Parts: sequence; C-alpha cells; structure tokens
Amino acid sequence: MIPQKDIVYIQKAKLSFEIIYNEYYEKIFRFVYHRVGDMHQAKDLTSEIFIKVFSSIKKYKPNGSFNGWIYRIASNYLTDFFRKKQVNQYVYLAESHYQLLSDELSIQISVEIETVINNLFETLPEEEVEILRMKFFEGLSFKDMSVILQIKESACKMKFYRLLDKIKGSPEIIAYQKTL
Amino acid sequence: MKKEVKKIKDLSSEEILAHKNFDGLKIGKQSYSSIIAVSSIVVIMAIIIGYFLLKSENNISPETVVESNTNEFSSFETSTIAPEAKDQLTIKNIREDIYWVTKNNTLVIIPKNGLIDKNGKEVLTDVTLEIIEYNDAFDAVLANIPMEYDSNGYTYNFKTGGMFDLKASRNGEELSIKKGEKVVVMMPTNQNDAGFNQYYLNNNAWEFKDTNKLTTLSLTTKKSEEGWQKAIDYEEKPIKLDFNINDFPELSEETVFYPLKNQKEQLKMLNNNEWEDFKIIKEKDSYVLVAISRDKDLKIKIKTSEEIEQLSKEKKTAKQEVEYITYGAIDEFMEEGFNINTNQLNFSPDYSYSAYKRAMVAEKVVNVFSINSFGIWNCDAPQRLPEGALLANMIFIDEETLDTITYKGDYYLSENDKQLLYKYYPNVDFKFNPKSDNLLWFLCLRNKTTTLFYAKEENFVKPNDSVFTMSKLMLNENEINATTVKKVLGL
Repeated sequence: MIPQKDIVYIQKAKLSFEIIYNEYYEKIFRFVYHRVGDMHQAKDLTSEIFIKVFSSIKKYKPNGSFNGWIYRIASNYLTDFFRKKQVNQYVYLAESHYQLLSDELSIQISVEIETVINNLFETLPEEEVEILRMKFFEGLSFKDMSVILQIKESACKMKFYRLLDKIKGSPEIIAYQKTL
Repeated sequence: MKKEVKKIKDLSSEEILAHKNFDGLKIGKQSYSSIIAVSSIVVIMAIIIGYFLLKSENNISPETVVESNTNEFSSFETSTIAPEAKDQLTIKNIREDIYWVTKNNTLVIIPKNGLIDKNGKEVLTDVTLEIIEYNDAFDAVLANIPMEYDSNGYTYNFKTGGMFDLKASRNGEELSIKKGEKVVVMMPTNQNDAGFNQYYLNNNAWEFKDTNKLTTLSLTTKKSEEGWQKAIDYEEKPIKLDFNINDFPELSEETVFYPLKNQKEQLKMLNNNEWEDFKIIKEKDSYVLVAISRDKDLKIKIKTSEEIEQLSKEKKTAKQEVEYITYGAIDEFMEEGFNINTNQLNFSPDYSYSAYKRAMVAEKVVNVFSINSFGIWNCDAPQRLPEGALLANMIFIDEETLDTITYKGDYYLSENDKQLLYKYYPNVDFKFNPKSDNLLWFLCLRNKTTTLFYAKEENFVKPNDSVFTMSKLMLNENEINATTVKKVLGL
C-alpha cells in the first residue's frame, strides 16, 4: 500500500500517476471483474476508472482512506455503468470464492456445496452480496468498506458478522451439513 | 429482482497484468508534466513540419488534408468551464470576526478564532478566503458537480436555491474550521420556494448529504408587494386630451392623463385603430378615456398627473415601509440569530452595513447556511424526473446539415419556467412535461471543436415525436464559458 504521505506528495507535486496505477491496477481489475464477469469488459472499465481517479485526484482529502476512496470511485463508476446499461442480473463467483466460503463454513468443497452457495447467493440482497465480495473476495478492511459503503466502520463490522451468522444458520447450509 | 449466479474463472496476476497499459490511458486535459512535455514536443514538431511544408511551395494535394465526415460526437468535459462568480479575500491580521461580502452580495461570517491549521493551531494571519458561487443548477452542471441525490433508492434531481464552494488557506495550506465554531454564509436568492434544505458535498463519495440545517430569512412581505404594485402600475407616457372643464371642475386645462399599464390589449387597439372622437368619463371615482369609432367604443382607464403625483408619494412611502420592515428583519435576524451587534457593523470603508441591507431589499430570500467545514454546500429541493411525455430512442438531427447526430453522452433537460435541470443518461427513456418551458441541450466534441446543441420549445410540441431538430453553436476557445452558453440557451 502506498503510504499516506506519498499520496499527498503525488497530489501536490502532480508527479506521474503511474505509481498509483501500478499499485492498484490488479486490485481494481479484480474488483471490476468480479462484478462484470468478463475479462475484456473489465479491462476497458478498469482503464475508464483510472481516468476517473486521475481526474478526481485533487478532490481526495488526505485525512481519508485513499484505498477506500479509490474503491469508492470504482464502485460508483460501476453503479453508473449498470444503471446506464440497465443490466446487472448476475452474481459472479470464481472457484476461489467457493473455496473461501467453504473454508469459512468448515465444509469440504464439492459440486454440491457449490450449488448450495449458488442458491444462497441468489436470495441475498445486493448490499449483502457486496459486503461478502469486499470482505471475502477482495480482502478489504472494514475501514475501506466503510468509505465505499458510506456507513460507519462499526456498522460495517456488525453487518458483516451478522451476515456470516445468517449464512451459517441458513436452512440450506444446515440441511446440507446434515447430509454429511 | 432475483439474480442468477454464474461461475467465472479465477484470473492469475499474470493474466491481469498482461492488460496493463498506462501509456494507453486517454487522459483528458490534466496538466501533468509528462503530458505537457509530450504535447510541447508534438507542437514543436508540428511547427517544424509546417514550416518545411510551406517552404516547399505548398505541394499538398487536397487528399492530404482529411477531415472526418462522420457526424459522431463525443462527450465534452464540462468541468473545464469556469463558473461565473469567483471571489477572493486576503486578510493580513485577523483582529475581530470576519465579515466578508462577496461580489455576489453573499455575506460570509467567520469567528475571529474559528480557523485552524492542520495541527489544530489557531490561525490569525495571512488568511486567504476563496469562494465560488453557483447561481443555478446550470452553473453546477458546468462545474461537474453532481446534481442528483439518492434517497431510499430513488434518484432525485436538485432544484438549487444557491450553492457555493468556500475555502480558507494560509500560504497555500488549507485551513479548517475549529471544532465547535460555525461559519455562517448568507446567500441572497430570488427563489422563494419552500422545501429547500442544506446539503454538503461529501468529497469521498462525491455525493450530497442532507445536513438539515438551513435557515431562511424571507424578505418578501405581502405589504411590500401590494405597495409596489399600486405605485408602478401606470404608463410612463402621458396623453393630452381636450375636455370640457365644466364637466370636471376639479381638473385644470393643462391636466395630462396616464393610461394604466395592465390593459395591454386595449392600449394596442387604441394605437392600431382609427378613432372618430375621444371623450373622458368618470366611473367609480376613476377617469376613463373612451375612444369612439363607427363600429365600437373602447374604454381605457387613465389617471391624472395629480393622481400620479399622489401615487408617487405612496410609492415612496411603500418603499420606506418595505425597507423599514426588511431592514428591521435583517437586524433582528443578525442580532438574535448570530449575536451580532449591528449598530457597529460595517464590512469595509467602501461597503457599509446599510448598503448591504439596501442590496438585500432587492432579493426575495436570504438562505443562511451554518457550516462546520469548508467545501461545497448546497441549498436544494430534490425533484423527481418530470412526468408526461415519454420517448424512447431519441434521435437528434443537425438543423443545418439535416444529418443524424451520433452522440452517446449525457444530455440535459431544463424546465426554464421552474429553474429546474434534469440529467438524462443515454439508453434511458426521456421524459418531459409538455406544459413546461422545456429546453434540451448538450455540449459535445468533434475534431477538437466544442459544439453546443440545443432544442427549444417548438421541438416539444408533439409529445410522441422522439426526433429532435437541434440548433447548434460551435464555440471558440474563448467562448467556452458559462456566460456565453447560458446566453445562447436563454437561461
């Protein structure tokens, strides 16, 4: 992660944005890819997001989380993108996501548990899916999540842990565990 | 809506990083040193090449210079347009509370010990205050400030009652407002709608937050409106008429008459027709001019010069009453609301508190913001998109060339009679209220030329017609400013 003082330095000196680009490219690409599910679209959107980031850099206030700020721009950009396209009917999950969730539930990964997870995700509201993506799949801190979701850090924690409880206690998971 | 889960493959770092291309980013007009350097080289190269081409006796065939024939336009970056009202004040030593009246007559009140630096230390010297005032939603859109507000899943467009961006600094370092202190910004406006609220633009999220803190000082009284109306309602140009003095002993032979203004149709008929005779009669203690012709008589309400003199006195009294009421209201507001001793208040040797109050009398309302941090503040009433005609697949036609304009950017609808502005995204159905004074417009780019396209009232006559014939104006570099664009659009 780029130290805070360096962000201020980049801002003030207007030096090359390449440092930020190199640091965040992969993270933002993954963030976008997990939401659009297509590598080529993710590539184009990631470029557009970085242009947005660079043109907005003056608006960043050094007292906030830069990590959260950059993800917030990406998140807003995608919201706009889906609103304009009027399509956002899929939740995309990668192999590693199923693995992470299975680990959390202390269940061996299998085709069956993948189906259970799919059914579960189809019933979750968008905000809860987003919380799971950010915490589990992107490994964001609660502080960054609070910036992106515009809620307090404590509220983020509370929502995440309640959501985990909800998943662990869901009828689908309990029913599946009984079959083991 | 229920979503479907789709499995995607995991991407390795190598796969992702293969797409990395920093140099390929089409960064707009940022003044990055690298871009400036590259641009400078390109310009110098162009000059050199141009020089040699000219020197070789203009050997260029017509095919060499190719201009794009397509009517394809890209979005224009509106944030490059400078707002109309920008003001700055530098204070060497702060010895008392700061009262700053901007060139837009906005009063900014900062407590003496209200400013701190990044270490939390009070700042009392070399302070620079900067304000940008956005008079309407149009100014805000040009400055790229989001004019939408999300509440409970609904998107509202803002109807702004005034917006500003206020900053304080010392030697380039930004200052903050001390915790517990408040800065007051009193912004006059001619909009006196109810339902305005105070919003702060959250820089992290780049969206407005409702702060629920706006105070409104209303300067419009019923009495003032009646007084003015009564006093100014006559034509400036008098009429000289012959009449029998015996019929009207209270008048003299030199008496002249003034027609009342609110008879537009009658005055038009009086001027445009031939009349055989004129006479004066009295109806309900008021004089009436009767114009007589073979077919009809026309009655025009008139007032004598003496009556006008009396009206002028009433006008003066009414004005004094208005001023007295309004001045009193401003004093009371300042004293009770903000603990200000108005007796000793003067903003500068050139601008007295009385002069400020006189300026305020011309306004309907002063919106008073009480703020605890610098940045962009807005006084708004959220509005839903207009209801009425709904059009899908908008088609824009260039009025001059009759070509279809290929443009996939955002566009705007202004309801000028309501001072409302809505943003429409491409691929979203366009809705408008046929009863409003509508104006559709967008700024776009082609071949490095900025063009303003706009469709006025006549395009909104057929509510089912999604073809809009657009007038256009190509803007020179020095014309790309809020004043020119607003003038063209008649805003």
